[in-house]
Amino acid sequence: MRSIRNAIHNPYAASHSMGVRLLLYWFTMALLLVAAILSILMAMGVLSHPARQLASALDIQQRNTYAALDAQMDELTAHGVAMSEKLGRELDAFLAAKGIPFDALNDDPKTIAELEKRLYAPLSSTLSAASCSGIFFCLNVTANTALPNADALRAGLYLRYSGLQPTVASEQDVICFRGAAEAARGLQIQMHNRWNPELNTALIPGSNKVATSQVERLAEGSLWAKRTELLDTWEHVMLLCVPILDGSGTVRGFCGMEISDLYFSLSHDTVSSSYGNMLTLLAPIDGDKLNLSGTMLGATNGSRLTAEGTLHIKPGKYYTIYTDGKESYLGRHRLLDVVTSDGIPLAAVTLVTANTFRSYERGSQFAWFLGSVLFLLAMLVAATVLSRRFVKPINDSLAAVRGGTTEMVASGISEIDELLTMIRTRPAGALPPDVEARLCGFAERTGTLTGMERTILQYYMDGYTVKDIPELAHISASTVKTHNRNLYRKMGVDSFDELKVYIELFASCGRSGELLKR
Amino acid sequence: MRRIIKASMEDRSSMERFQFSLRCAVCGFLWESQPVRFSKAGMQPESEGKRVIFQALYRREREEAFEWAATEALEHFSLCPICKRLVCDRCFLLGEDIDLCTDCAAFLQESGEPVESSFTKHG
Amino acid sequence: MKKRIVLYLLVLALLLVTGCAQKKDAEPLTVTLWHVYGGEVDSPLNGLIERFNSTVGAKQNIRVKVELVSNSGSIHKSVLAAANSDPGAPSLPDMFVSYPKTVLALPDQDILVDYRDYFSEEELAAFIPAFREEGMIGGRQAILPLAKSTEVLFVNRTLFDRWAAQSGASYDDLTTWEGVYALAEQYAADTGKCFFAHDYHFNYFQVGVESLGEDFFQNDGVRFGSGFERAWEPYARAGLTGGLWLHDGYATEPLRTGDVVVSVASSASVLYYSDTVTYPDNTSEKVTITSMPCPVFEGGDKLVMQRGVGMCTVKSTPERERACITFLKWLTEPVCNVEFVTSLGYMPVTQEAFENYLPDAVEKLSDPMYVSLYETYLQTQEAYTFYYPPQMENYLDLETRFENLARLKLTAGRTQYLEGGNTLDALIRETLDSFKLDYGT
Repeated sequence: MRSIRNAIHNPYAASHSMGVRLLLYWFTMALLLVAAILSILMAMGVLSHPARQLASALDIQQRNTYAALDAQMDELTAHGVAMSEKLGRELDAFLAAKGIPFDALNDDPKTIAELEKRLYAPLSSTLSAASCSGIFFCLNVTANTALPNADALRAGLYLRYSGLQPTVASEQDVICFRGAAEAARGLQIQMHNRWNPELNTALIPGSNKVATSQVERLAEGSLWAKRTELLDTWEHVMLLCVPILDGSGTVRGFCGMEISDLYFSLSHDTVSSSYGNMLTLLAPIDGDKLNLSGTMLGATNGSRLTAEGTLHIKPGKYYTIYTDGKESYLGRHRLLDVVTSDGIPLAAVTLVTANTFRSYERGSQFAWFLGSVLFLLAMLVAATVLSRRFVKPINDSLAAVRGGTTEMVASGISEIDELLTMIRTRPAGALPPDVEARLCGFAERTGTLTGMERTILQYYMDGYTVKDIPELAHISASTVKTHNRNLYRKMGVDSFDELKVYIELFASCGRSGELLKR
Repeated sequence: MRRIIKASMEDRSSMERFQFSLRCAVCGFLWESQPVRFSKAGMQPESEGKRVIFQALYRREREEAFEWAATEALEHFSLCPICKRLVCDRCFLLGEDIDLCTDCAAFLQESGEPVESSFTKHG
Repeated sequence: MKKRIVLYLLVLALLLVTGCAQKKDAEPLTVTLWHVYGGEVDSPLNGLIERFNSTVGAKQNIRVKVELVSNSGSIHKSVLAAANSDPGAPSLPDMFVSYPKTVLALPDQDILVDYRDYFSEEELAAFIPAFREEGMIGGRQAILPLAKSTEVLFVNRTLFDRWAAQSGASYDDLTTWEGVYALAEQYAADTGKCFFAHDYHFNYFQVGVESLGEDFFQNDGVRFGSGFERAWEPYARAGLTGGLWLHDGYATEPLRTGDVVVSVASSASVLYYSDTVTYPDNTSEKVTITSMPCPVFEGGDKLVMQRGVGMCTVKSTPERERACITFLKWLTEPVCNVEFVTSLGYMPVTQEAFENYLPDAVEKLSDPMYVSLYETYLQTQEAYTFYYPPQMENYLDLETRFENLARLKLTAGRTQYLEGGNTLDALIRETLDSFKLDYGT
């Protein structure tokens, strides 16, 4: 580590091994490679913003949601109009057969029940054909005009699926929510626990307009009543109201379909995506407010969204943010061509929970981070291995030269090998070829020295010169000279300098220990 | 070694010159250093001040001469490792195992070659 | 170098751990539930579930979602369709309520969780033993009791008192079957309307025959002994003379329209009784409906049907199963359980809830219909023995056929009676023979 650091700080210092330099080189290459890969991925859009990916996923889902809801509401209106026409004709036929005017139905429960039984057929057939959870009609008559709230009460039949479940329509039990008891029993339809004989139109927002205003075309006069609680039950519903006209074009009541919360949530399941479950909403949007209490919620698996409160809408670059202060959702909305009874447009909305998306975002960032780190680590390991593999034969080759073996070890690099071969094949000038033999002989001859001669040789090996000896050995300079003479003769050298060369040779080979061995 | 020699040297100096001597502990040979002349030899100090200066000079030059004499003596005297006496080259034997004075060699029955033959002239 | 690598690894591990934790935070585990509590009316259980979701559920990241609220018969059908993978059938929910008969009819009972895997011995011992035993099927605790009910008699006091003032009828007459049917015959004669509706004619005969000391079942069918004939006589008499309600559906229906005055039904149906009666001319009237213990035969044992579904959990992943169990433990914990049962007219299922929490809860009840119901419970518990139907695989089939055929025979007999085709006694005999023949033994 330190050597690498030194190499970085002082790249031209001569003291760094080529291994470190090579490692540094490889590492730089690895970094460059990572940078290159990242920029290519960036250019190809693989690494693009998760928000942008979410935006395109939302776009697709929102298109589907919009199309599905638009088609469903269109289809229901079409069914409603067809049913209204059938009911109008049946009503005319019934009154003609009885020979009574429409208003004569008031205060006549028996005839009303009879009429309801007759009008059951178009109602029931439409119920099984249309995508809805309930169906109803009511006429502008009541069984008892004397009642204080008779104005709001309307004779009619309201059938609903009981115990709605995610299964085919033919399997559903139909129950009578509103309608004369006699009619229900005659038709052998079970009555709802909170049954009542007549519909209370005061509880159907906007129905007054439908039931009274004269229209040319049925579709024009139809209206979606905003989401409202079904009296005495735990369910909320949205009702489509289509006026019923008699032969003369007079509005005689209205009919329509019910979409309950449960039905909507069963028929609009969540769509799972990598950004979390996508939810479908049919929501009234008033400016920058999405009113949840008026919203039909699709399945909400994986979120805590409930039909309560208000979501504030904040448009963003990639998605719109819907927040109630505590929980946030990301999504899209588009207004449908439908306005509820209170004049607020309905929109098809696609949402994902912000938290889920954020955790996806973090997850993908983390995956990239982890991937890059792992890649970098792998590249580092590769750099180390490659540098070692490159440097090792060179080092071996050099070590072989240093060790003085006669055999040539190839470094694998032609330039170095050539250099080494040249050094080896050069005529011996610096070093006599029998150096080793001489060294051995020298070492052997130290055995012939007297005690004082050995002491003196030791002083020389320790780096002292001739001058230092009298003082060190307490002998006179003449004595030293005599000893030197004998020493040179015995060791086969001609001068102190030659003796010194031998001593240094031994020292540089680390073989000084071989001298003065007894 | 120098310290031992300096401790053993005798002062033979006069007002004119400096000289020191050392005696071999075995043969009694008296070695004398080369005499060194005092730089102000023969001159009379003209004043009391000069006389003080002359005295200081004398002490310093004597010290220098003493060092020179020790160096000179180092050429000729060795310390016997057995008896720890200073002996001249003629009385110091080079032995196989150890160098020692002739007295010790006789006592220990060791043999050896003297550094300098008895008949060569003392330098 | 090594230390640094270790440090990097630690940082990576930390990031991984926090990453996982955040993910867990984001998406609640949603488990689905099919139940019967509340039906078409606003269900108090749904409110409790919302509370669970916002408290314990929010903490543990569990969300219970009600996918279906229906009656036990409809859930039975749906469960079997789902378990058999019928075409168009929904997939099974994580939890559904069920009688033992549904579990017995499953193609493979091993798809259900054995609660002994999730509840400790002590936890299970907290349940009232009789309630728990009913859910032991094939040696497995397949059904967990949540709330229990029994059969009681509901009476529209407003209408009864009005008629009693003229006819001299008394509430004491409503303590025996003989009395009830006699009043029914008399009421029909006086007013031309029905007097009495029974939710389960099959139960009337089953408990009645057993209370007379005879076996009701024989092998895989019904044993028509003298006890059966004794039960048939007043029943058919009331039916033929128009005092007994013979239409399909629950007894709440004719009581709501003022077409009958008295009914015998599950105590849990108290939720569906309305304190308003609406007549065909659209006028309505506030009435008082109270309850009384179920009638018995003169000289017979005081025996009454034990009712109430329990909860089954479908095997899935350990996380989902644990989420379901967390919810069920919360729901059967005494304070919560008492709140749950008293809002629905049921009895709690643990001894502790019954002894320590129910009395206080009953005192706080304000609706006279509920007050009278819990008084009835206490009287029933004191004087009656509870009867449990045997675990027979074809029980449901026997029940359904019985309900339909008995009503059909009496409706046909009633038409004959009105046409004056035969004497009453002869018709009673005739309808019985015809019923026995068609039903088979």
